[in-house]
Amino acid sequence: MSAKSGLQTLPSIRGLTAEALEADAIREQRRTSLATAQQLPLPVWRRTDLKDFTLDGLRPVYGSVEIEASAAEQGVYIADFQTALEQRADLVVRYFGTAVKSDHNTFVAYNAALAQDGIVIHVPRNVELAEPIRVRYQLPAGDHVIFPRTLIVAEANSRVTVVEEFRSDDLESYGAVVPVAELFSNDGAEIRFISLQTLGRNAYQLGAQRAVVGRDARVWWLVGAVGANVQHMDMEAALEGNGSGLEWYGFTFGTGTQQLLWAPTVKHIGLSTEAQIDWRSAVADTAYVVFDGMIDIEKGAQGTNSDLRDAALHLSDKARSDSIPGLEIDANEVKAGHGSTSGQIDEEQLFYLMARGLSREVATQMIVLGFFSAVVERIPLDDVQERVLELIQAKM
Amino acid sequence: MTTAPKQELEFDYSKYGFRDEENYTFKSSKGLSEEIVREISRMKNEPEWMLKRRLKALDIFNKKPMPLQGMWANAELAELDFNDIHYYVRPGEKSQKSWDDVPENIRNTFEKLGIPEAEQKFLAGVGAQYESESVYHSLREEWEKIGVVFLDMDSALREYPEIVKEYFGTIIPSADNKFAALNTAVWSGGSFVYVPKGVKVDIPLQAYFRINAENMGQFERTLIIVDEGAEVHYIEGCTAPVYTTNSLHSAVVEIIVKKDGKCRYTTIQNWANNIFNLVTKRAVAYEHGQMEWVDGNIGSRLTMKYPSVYLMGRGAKGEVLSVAYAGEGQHQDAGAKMVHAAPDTTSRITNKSVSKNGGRTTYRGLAKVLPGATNAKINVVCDALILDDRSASDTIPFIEIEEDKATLAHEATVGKIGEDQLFYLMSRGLSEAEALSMIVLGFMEPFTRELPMEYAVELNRLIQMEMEGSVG
Repeated sequence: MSAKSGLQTLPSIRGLTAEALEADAIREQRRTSLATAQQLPLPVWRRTDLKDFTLDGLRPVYGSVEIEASAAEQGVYIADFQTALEQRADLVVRYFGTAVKSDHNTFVAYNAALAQDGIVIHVPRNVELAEPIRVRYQLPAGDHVIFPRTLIVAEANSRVTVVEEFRSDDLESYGAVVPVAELFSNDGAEIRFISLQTLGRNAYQLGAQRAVVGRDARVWWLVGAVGANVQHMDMEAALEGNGSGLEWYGFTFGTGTQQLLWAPTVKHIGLSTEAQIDWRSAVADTAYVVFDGMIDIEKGAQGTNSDLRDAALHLSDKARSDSIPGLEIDANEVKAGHGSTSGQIDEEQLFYLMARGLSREVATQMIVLGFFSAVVERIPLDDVQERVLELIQAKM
Repeated sequence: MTTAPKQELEFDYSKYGFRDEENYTFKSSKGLSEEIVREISRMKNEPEWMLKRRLKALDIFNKKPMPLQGMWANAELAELDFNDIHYYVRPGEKSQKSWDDVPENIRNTFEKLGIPEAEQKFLAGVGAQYESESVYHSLREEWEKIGVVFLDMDSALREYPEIVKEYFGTIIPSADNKFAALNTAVWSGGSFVYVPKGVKVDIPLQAYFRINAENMGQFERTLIIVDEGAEVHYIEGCTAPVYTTNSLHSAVVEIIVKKDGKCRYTTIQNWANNIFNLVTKRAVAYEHGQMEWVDGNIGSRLTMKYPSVYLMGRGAKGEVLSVAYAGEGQHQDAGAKMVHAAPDTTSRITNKSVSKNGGRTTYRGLAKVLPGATNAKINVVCDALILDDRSASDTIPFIEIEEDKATLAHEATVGKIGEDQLFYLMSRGLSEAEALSMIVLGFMEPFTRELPMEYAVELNRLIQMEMEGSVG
């Protein structure tokens, strides 16, 4: 299955008017969002530097998405975002902008106004999709911006796996990917969601993802970033249903002058919810990676069990890593903890491997792969696991 | 817990909550103005540079937004009305070296608090501040003879103007934060400590801060200089009567620990529950110097305090060991900052907090390794207990590492008291209240064991169980 063939390009964001928006089932929301986007200032982020960046001069481009899924089965609906708006307007309208508020920041608002590329997946009750759905977005060139939109609705007791990747070549000039993903894992359902950022030089990725998890439902979530100049991703998993659960993994490998930030928050709202978060970040050269995580246990969320781990590995004395593993706890019958570590390659380990005949370079690679393995080994799809290992190796 | 504990874990404040009649030589009207700043400086007969410093700080205070807006927001600060506070209250004429010369009602206050008695038993020197001014400051002769200086800050400015001028505001500049600016503008009292090269003061110095009046602002300023190879342990305690309106305590404490020096600064903060305690405390430690903050936060309405150590010399060590207890209406927003700026520096932060009856504890911390601070090692452990479903706890650590040859480990846990622990103790014949009390004391033990014995006993006594509905 493939989306519209060929790329279509709009004039630049600067001077965009409501006439440029699609006249579809969400056109009113698009109009409001455009006004919001144009009104909101660029966010002031303490740990993401946007001083050389503006969306203004970039041109939105459509036709960047490629979807790979086996033929629809048992009433499963899979389509690119704009097609879904024509075919299943009711579905899109019901969920669009409810997990990630369209006024979250100017980037998300532009996405809500302009998104056409994307994917909509609806899995009916009790249906388990055996095959993963794969989605690839290609930022075609500098001076352009794409607005990927992901909407996944897993009805009660269904299961689905989605793998998305944002790619580009090295760009001559700045370009941006502004993705928004909304995930709804309804009662007893499970969504497995993998989102990889492998953009080239001069790309920015600035977006938001959010999952809403129902009673006894689960989300298994992995994000990874190896590319782009700058990344800032706000993410939240809302464990609303009693007994809901989350496993959340992330990896970042920053080299050169990359600035890559993940900000995952897990919100415990229902009774007896469980979350496990594990993140691995490596930094080399003068790169800067940030893990800004939060476990938020709301009042009344008794029986919560939540644990967060993150580790940073420094491969150069000029690189920087920040870790902010927060806990905000308003309930008492809970167990919550976090652990954060930062360090360098263990000289003893290196020495041991070199004593076995490995060169320093190969030994270092093995240790770095070992560092990431805690996350990589969790990936349930062999080809994705291989892809991630390749991405990590390519960084060394 | 299967059944909610019927007992209440409470601190008994009656010993500290008494009030004295007001009998002051000067009490500024409410609110802050340039005239009041000038008046304070004039009454203290200060050098011109200090007045200028105050006025500049007042300007900074007026212009600076409330601290921590946005990321470090604390909405509770809005309850603080800067116009409803007396910024300077002078209880008597001057700081005395003999308790006999301290006005009787004030002397009685400190006697009730057990200060002269403690001085006799185990302290090298004592300072006592009442409202804005020090009323008593004394150092044992044996220490004075070998050059140790322990004065109230105002006397130090008169007697050691050059040293004060050299160091004042160098560790915490006025512009550091809004409350540091406020303190610089209206500071009064506090301690000045100088320990000469190689002198090890082996019993503690103590300062005790008492607020008596309502709507009072206390702004003591402390400067401690530990010269090369010297050692000192400084203890501060704080209490006040309980009023229904808010008071403000906003201190600035600057500490310099030179090469091979060692300083321990112990605080038992037991302010009444109507006091905003917004304090800036920072130390710099040079080569192989050691700085330890032992910080107990039991009282106050809202405390915001993050004792810091800047590790500036090779091999310097920093430590913060703190406990916080937040009961009804209280928020203890406390933590620690460690900034590693030199190689082979190590730091450790241990934080224990307990919240109960709607109280909230927040640990905020910074662990930072600057480029070039090779082999820096940081270890952070935060544990929080939440004793009921109305109470809350936050842990907000900021970790910033800009050096590869550095090691950091941070661990935090939050939870409730283990039922099995409680059950075990109760099966040994303890009441639920006793068992709870024992567990909490055990939880805080890494802190209390670092206190001088007399203080540990006092702190443990503070934590006592009261049966709900029992005949009082």
